[in-house]
Amino acid sequence: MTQFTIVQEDEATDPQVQAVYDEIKTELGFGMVPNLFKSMAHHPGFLYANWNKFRAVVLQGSLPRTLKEMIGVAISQANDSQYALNVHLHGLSALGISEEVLKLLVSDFENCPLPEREKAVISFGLKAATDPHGLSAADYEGLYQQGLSSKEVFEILATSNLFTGVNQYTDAISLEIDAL
Amino acid sequence: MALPSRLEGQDPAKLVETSRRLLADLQALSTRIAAVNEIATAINRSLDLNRILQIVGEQAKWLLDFEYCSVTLVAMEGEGVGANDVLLFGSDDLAPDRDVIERALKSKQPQLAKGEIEDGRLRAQMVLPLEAEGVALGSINFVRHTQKAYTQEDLRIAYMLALQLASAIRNARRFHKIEDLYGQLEISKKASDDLLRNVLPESVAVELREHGKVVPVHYEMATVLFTDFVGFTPIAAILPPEELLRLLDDCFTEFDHIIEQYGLEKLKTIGDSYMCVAGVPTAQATHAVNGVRAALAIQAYMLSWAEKQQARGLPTWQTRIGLHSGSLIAGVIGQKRFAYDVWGDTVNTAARIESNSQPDEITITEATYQLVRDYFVIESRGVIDVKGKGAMTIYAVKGELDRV
Repeated sequence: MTQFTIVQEDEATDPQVQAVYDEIKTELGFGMVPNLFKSMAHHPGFLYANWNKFRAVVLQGSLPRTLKEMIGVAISQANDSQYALNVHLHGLSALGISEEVLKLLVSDFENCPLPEREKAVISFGLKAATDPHGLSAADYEGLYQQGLSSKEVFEILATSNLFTGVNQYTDAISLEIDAL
Repeated sequence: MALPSRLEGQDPAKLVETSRRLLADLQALSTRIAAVNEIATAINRSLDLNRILQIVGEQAKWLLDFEYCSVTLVAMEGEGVGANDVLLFGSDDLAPDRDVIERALKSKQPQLAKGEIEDGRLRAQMVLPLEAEGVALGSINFVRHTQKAYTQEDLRIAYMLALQLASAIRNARRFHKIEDLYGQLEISKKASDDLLRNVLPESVAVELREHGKVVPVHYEMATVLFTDFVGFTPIAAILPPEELLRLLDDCFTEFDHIIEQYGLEKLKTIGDSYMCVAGVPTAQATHAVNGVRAALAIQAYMLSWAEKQQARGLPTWQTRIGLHSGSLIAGVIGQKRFAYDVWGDTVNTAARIESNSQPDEITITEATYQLVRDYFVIESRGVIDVKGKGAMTIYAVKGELDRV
């Protein structure tokens, strides 16, 4: 059970909350506001900041959204974060990705059938989230060797940071998975 | 039922393992297809070829493994011959073999080629034609150093990208062409507008352009001015035609300047006769005064011109000027060679008065006289019989009235 009540769209009275809900519905592509954001409406400034962070990291930037979603799924798997995994799953079915290939990435990197560069990027993102102290200069160099720009590498770090935060938050409040 | 029985014979754990791998393959492929869609969306948003290639350079690396990527663009019609390589990723020392690109362009079929072994590694090449509507616009070329050559799966993914890229390039080129054509259209439209404005008064040209026709306008009062040259015909007989035209052009060009200065509208020249009007297309309260002032300026110019000609021993002629004021209709008739013109008894009368004028004199009718008498020194020239009009009183304008 969620520790904090969800503020439904028709219950939202704060103008800042209403404005953010409208943006989420138009820009996220699901025509609805996920519980992740509805649960933040108790603190409109936090909602505003988190939505804008999500928007800047996932919806904008130069890395493909698919790839950023995959980084998110890999991190959520590692954290065993049910909300994120389930939200991804329905988001991913629209984008065409799923978990099995990412499990293989962790268990059998060599034979995971993704392109090498994608595997390297997801592994880097996963390491940045789960073992930030272990991220070495060689890890960075490896990505540059694969032809990534520093802007792209930063986007991977931002993606890791976003999903780590989302996992921690949704797990801490036991956020209920969206009813679809 | 051969397959189920074979599956049933399998070790369940192994079966799960196999299913997982198949699922992973499917998911990986599905990811790559999603990435192709993302690139397709991005490149189809742009109609700028450089931007399209830049997007492919940045994004294609998420679809496929390569250390080199370039696009070969075949020259378009009118751009000369040959092809132009645009490097999108990596460095040129990895460029694919020319004959592989040639084969792809010629056959319009994707080419997978194993290159020579370099540093103990295989150099794999994949070249896909960029084909739109049966025309090879170029190719997209991938090269990598690898233990594994490109697979059929890689080829399918790259082929999807090539299809999207080809149509984006075609659209960009078409857009570019359309823009060029619009540019040319603008230039010719401006030229035709300029021409129209030269032939017709500005307000009339605008009316013609916007409505495709010009409604004739009746003017209650305007002043028509005619000139012609006395002694022109004998000179025309002896001067070479080019020389004659040059003299005539000198005179009429100056007339154009003068009447513009006084707000008159030039209508036409007929042989050695010049015809203009004051008070159309914009009605003027002072049309008659403006007309007479223009006449005086023309007269002054022609007298000094004749002096200069004489001083050089060149032929000269004298000028007759006639003006008449009254109502008339102005407009444009015909569909070709538009000309702005005026019609009515006022016009005929003005022409008759001019032909009854004395050389180097400005002759006006009673109607004009009544409108300008307070401004000019005017002498009566009595009554003459004007064909079709009967007896008319005429006057000669001698100059501006000195009003202290």
